[in-house]
Amino acid sequence: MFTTFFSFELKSWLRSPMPWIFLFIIGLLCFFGTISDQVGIGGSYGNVWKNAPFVAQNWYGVFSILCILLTTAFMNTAGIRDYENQTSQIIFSKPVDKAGYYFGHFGGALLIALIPMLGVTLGMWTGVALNAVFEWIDTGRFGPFETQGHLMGLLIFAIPNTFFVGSVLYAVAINTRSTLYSFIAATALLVGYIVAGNLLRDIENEQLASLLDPLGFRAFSIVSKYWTVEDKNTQAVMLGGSLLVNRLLWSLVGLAALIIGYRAFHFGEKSRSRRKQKAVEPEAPVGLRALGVLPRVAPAKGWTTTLRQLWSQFKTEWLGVLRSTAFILLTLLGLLNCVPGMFFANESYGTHELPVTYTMIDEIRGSFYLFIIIIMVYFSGAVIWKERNAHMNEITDALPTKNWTGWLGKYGAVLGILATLQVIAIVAAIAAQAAMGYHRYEVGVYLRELLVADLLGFAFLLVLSFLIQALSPNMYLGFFLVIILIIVNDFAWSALDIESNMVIFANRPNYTLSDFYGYQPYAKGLSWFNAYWFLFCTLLALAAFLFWPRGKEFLEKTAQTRQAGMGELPEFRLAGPRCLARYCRVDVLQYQSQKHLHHQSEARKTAGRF
Amino acid sequence: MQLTIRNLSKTYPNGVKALQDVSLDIPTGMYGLLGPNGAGKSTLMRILATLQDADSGTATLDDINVLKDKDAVRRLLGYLPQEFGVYPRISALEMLRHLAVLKGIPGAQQKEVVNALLERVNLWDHRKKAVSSYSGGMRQRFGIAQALLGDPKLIIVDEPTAGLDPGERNRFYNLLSEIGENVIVILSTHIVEDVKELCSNMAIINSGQVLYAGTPDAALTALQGQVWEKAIAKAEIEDYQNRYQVISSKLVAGKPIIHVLSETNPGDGFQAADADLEDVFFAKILAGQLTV
Repeated sequence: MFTTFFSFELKSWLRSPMPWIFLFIIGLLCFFGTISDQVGIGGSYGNVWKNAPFVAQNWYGVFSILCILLTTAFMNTAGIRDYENQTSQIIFSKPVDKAGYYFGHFGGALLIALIPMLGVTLGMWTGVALNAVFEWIDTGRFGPFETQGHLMGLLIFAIPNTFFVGSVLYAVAINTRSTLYSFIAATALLVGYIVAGNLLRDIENEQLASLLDPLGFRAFSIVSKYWTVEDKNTQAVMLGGSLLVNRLLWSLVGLAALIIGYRAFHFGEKSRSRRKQKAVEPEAPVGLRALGVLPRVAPAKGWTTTLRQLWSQFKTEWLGVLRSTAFILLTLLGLLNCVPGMFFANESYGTHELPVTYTMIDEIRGSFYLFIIIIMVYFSGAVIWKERNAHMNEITDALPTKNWTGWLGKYGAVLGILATLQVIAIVAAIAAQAAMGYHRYEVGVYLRELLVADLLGFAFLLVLSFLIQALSPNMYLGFFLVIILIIVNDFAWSALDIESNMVIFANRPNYTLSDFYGYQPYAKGLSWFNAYWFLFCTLLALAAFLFWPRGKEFLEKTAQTRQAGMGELPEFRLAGPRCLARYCRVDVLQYQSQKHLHHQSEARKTAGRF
Repeated sequence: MQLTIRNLSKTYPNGVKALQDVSLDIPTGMYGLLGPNGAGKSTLMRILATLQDADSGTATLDDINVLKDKDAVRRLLGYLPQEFGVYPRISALEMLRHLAVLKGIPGAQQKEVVNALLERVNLWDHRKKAVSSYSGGMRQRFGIAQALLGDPKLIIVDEPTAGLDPGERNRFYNLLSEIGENVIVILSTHIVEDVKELCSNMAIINSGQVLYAGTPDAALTALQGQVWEKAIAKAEIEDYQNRYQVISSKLVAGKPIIHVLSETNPGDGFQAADADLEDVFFAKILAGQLTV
């Protein structure tokens, strides 16, 4: 029974593109990490060979953390596949053995979750081999080909961490039967790891701290703390001593979670749906009888109707997100991650500073924005797919609404949610300031920075996310593509030596808000780039509108219907000339941007003098 | 009101010919669209409901081009798809109000319309419960309530009684038959009885082709005196299928009774049977298969 489910799990993943795509992505990152100095994975390694065993082992450690979310996806699918596909009743009514089912799927998904991490070895070896031919960087920076670091990386980081994380998440997924809770558990695990890391930093007892690190990094660094370059070039950290104890301990914790999950798991329908079914009381049978006359009200036309439709769509979506468990939990997690930091933000290098507005804003940007982006990615998909996920689309699509009201209503709703989050963050920051006895509340600065400047940046990202979800044939593929694009946009450009804000999506110049000069001398560059990305996003928004999913065959839309769609939005006819105008402006902007850089360096010099 | 469909064809990218040269004239009143699963009924209905595009052909509702002027159609349309779900945690009342706004019901009359509809489909007492908690019949009645929003002139219901118990089916028919004579109601089904009980006009389609279009009575009259039945043993079925035009075989108390088509009495123990719509249905499908 175990082998049946195990091989079923393996086969279904090996046929799917997901493990291979991630293997490719990690391989590509490690390839660039090997052959260039621009891509750093887990910090810089100084004079150590670029393919040293120590580096390989470290990379496995780094990717075992980055892969937590990936492992979640594998484990979640394995755990809830039969519920999602509604095959559970068929499978569970067969004489299936619970242990075989539970551990078979887990085992298969665990093995699959390790595939992407092999990208470390693949990327590094390919990099070394190709560099020997093309000599992108000095071949003297590479040592001999080795396997020990890779093996130990797998053994110390990849396997135990995936097992630990995977066990916990699989137990959650299969028992809650909900993708949402799996991702919340994964986020909680990540946040818990970061928070615990901060708390453990102050622990005097190094051994205890290293033992309590569930991913084994601390124990690893204690062993290699005093290693010389020569050591790092030739040896890998072996599994022994405190590292072995740590790995065993957390594997046992994982095993315990797996077993607790196993005991709680039962073949049955979700208890919640049972409760729901009870709620309906049977009705008395009613035969034929005369029915009252319905008021005859025909649908109205015109702008007032359209605006009311827009408002209703906005309100339904906005309230829908606001009331959803996912939103509430993610927001709470975000605050949990952010608010404690606000209280420590006024301490740096042992000195005590006032909790001024900019430290608060930095804290929000540093620890709350990750959650805002997660919420943006998740809910932009969830609202666009809402009708289709609820199988309501055939009803709503046949209603006399314009495509653009659906688009704008949903976009406005998610943007409204992001604005709500910023307001929550501002209230939390001001409350923290008050609690620390600092009473100079600069509400205007908060509003300008978080609700105008940063929200505009999120609005740009949101357009991109909407476009992808409108085109994507599947919500989860959409999530994946959006996240990949965000990551690539953040990291890939620098690897290509491109740092222009004209290319990096939604990037605006860095600036310093000064009490003396306000936004000067950055204001001009900022507004130009905001205008530039605003226009670009308007084009993306039009594209999303043209491909807006409606009816059964939006991807095969004929040119005819697309034209009909264009006619709906009069502004579209202006887009052509606008687009042209935008590219004419590019030269000017490029010039402005270069000039601006010059200004910036001047400004820095001036600032240095103060 | 008259819906005129001419030479409508639709082929899916995987090569399935869902509709082939379909032409129908649909007057006001209940119109039954009868066909086995996969006959192309849903494709036809989705095209008429502006959710899918046809490859070729035309469909006009009086002077509205159904395939082009989607917005105009949507304002006259009430559509109940074959399968539909609802948002979780939203009550019937909230959901219907939202749909009423999207339908374009003016704000002043919205409450009146929604309340009257909920009363009418007998869901008033359950209006504050989540639609997702409804039983199959209640959900289907919610479906018809939303389809009746905005005084529609063209109502399309796709297999509305599938999965309903006899009591719920009766209620549903009751609702449909009350909708009014000045409206086109297209009802697709694979249940012959539905058409018999409700429809003044009908069409039989299979494999995307129209096999019959007209009144149920005309179809029955045409077949009168041509249907013969006989109780046989199970093992004999194949033998009879080779010798006669067997249009259907069904079990009565576990024993097979076959219906065969023949212009003259086939003898051999066959007795004349009253042709019913089911015989028409199977005879047309059989004839369709023979000509293909």
